Amino acid sequence: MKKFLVLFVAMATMIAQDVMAQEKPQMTEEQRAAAKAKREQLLQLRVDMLREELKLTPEQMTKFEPVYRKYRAEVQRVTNKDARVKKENLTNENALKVVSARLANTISTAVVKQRYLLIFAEVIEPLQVEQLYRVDERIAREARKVMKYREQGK
Amino acid sequence: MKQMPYRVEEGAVERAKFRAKMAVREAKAAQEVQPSRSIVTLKPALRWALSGVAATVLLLIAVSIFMQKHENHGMERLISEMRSASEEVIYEQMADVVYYAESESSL
Repeated sequence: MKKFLVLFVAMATMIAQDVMAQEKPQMTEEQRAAAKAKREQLLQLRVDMLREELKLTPEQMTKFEPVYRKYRAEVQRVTNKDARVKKENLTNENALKVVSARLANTISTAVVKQRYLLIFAEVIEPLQVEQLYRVDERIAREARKVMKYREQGK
Repeated sequence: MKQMPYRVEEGAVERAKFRAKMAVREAKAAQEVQPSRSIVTLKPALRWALSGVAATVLLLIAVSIFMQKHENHGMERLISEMRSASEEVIYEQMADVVYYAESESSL
């Protein structure tokens, strides 16, 4: 009887784990799809905004958009995620690591921007390149404000 | 009584005073009759010109306000979409933010 009970508990645990394991990826998949859609929506909004602010012609736009998408992807790629720590979660143990990651991000994104200067200059005017970096910087600042606002709201 | 060095006709002073008084009165009357200056009293052509200038100024103000709003429209839309995004996505948007910039305190 005792053996049967142990076996039953073990089986129940395995089934529960299996169900949870099935549910979890499904949730993550949904979240991932939503995040992907949001990411694309925000990128498209950025592109639309740049088209207006930089007064890009349709010809320029055709060449500029794929380059910009590649550039944004590269900026994401070089970013160290250790920098993503909320103020409330900063401690004496992790502060130096976080600051270091943030400074490293500043350097690595600047390197990407530097490299893309001439690449952008092939598809848009130099003054438009300058404005592009200013608009991008403004968007980053606004995103940070949104994040700060969210942190304060919690 | 001391004699005046020249001869003045009798009543000449009174007549001069009267004429001066009349002149002042006529000048005042003429001033009152003259209509006050306003857009209504101006010539039609001038009136149209002034109205045109005023309308143009108002139109320019309206256009500049519209342009200003239109200019920020893209950013406002982006911000409102960011607000409903996950933290991961927002962090991606601020990937190239400069954390320890001089203007940090102004944020």
